[in-house]
Amino acid sequence: MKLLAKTNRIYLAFSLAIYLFAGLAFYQVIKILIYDEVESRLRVEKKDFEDYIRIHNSWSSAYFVENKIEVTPAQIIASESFSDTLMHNRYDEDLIPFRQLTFYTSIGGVTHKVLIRKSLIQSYRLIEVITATMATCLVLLLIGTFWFQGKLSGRIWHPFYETLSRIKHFNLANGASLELEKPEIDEFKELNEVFLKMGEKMQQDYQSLKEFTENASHEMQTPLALINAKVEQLIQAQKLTATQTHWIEDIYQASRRMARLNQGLLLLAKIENYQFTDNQSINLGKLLAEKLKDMEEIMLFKQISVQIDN
Amino acid sequence: MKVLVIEDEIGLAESITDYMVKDGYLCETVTTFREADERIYLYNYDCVIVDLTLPDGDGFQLIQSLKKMLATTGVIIISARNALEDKIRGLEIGSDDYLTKPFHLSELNARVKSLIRRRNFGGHTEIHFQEILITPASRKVFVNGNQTVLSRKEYDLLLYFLSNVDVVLTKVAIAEHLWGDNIDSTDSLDIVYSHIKNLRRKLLEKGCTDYVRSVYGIGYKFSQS
Repeated sequence: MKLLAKTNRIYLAFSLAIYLFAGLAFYQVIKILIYDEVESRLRVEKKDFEDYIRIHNSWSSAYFVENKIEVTPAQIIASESFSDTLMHNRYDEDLIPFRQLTFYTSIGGVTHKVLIRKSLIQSYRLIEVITATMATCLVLLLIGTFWFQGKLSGRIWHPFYETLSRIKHFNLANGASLELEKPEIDEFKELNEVFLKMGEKMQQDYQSLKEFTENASHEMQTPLALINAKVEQLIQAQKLTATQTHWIEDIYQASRRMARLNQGLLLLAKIENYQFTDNQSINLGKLLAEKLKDMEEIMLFKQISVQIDN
Repeated sequence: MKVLVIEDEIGLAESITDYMVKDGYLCETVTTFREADERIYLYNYDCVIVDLTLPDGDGFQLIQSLKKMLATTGVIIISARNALEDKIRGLEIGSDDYLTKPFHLSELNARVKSLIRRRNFGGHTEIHFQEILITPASRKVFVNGNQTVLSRKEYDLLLYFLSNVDVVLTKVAIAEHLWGDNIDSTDSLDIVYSHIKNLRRKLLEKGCTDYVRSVYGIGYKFSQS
């Protein structure tokens, strides 16, 4: 996963959580405020009701709007309490949320249970509108910051990706030194400096290794060539005994073997050092067939038959 | 025939020179780049044998300046460097052959001869040895005027012998000449024997004297006596 995608994903998840929490808290706070307001108004109405009862010592529904107050005789007395309830509208069948205050009072010597209600429909509308506005704002903010973050990160991390691509294309074998920019961000600058140092060291090591194999080849092959040449000259001497000839032959063979061994080792070293950069696929079967053709005489002589299955 | 040997390993240079002189060449030896540069500038040679790594310079540079002055001079590179790039570069700047050290003196000699033949006579030359006649251009062999048909390897073998008359050729040298450097088994030495046997038989059939002498344990020699 890309670095930017990863940070963006974490950022998105975190912001979503924060925004959800903030939204819920906001909703709750508004709700508490609205309830507080409604309940204080209900208390004022209760006071009005009690004043009315004290003056008239009786109850007339005409004083209060229908549905907003309900007075029923009651046997028991409980403490005053607030509760939520749903009531039918006067004009249609919709259920509307109400906040109601329940209290007990005596009218003309008889205990009555009084319910005073206030519609919450307006307040709920308010909450809905506020919540919707806020949610829209938060979503816009989220998208905005997300977009900005993406743009900004892209720009800030640009030197890093640039360095990465340069290093990817860096090739030890072609001898060109590593070229990196000098970004203004300290961390990236340091990173580039470290890479440059490493690249230089690697190139030096590679070069010295290459030179070593070449020098080793030269230093070894030349004395071997000398031995070979001298032995060849020695062979030309007329008066050699059979034993001497045998010894010379051994020296000769050993020097040839040494030369071949040396060449083999150098080839292996070169392969190990990745000095062969021109890689291409070959047809091994075809090559083998060619080699076998070269060896035909030897095989014929040794009476070996080789079969090739394609 | 004038040959210049440019080789910084004095012992090796001596051996090459000795071998060439015995074969009738006029041979000069230098061991440094500076000397070689001077000689090339002052004299003309039929063939120059150059080592690539000289203590005070690069053999490639010598070949380049030589080719600028006299393009007909044959150039054979002898080098310890076995890299393909070196070989290609050598041939590109006008050298004719590339021998990797260590090499057989007889092989070097054969290559010098073949090079001079190609350079001086455009390959249209005949090689005589007593009753044997070879026409390298058509790869034909005649004994007393009668053609004898040799296989490719037998022909190469005869030519190798005729390039190194009176010299003991080791079995290894012969095997490597015929099959290249990669031949590396004692079996190949037996095949050398079988090829020599066939060559001898074919020459004798046409009434040729047997010039091939076996040198015990080492190899063979092509000589009159």
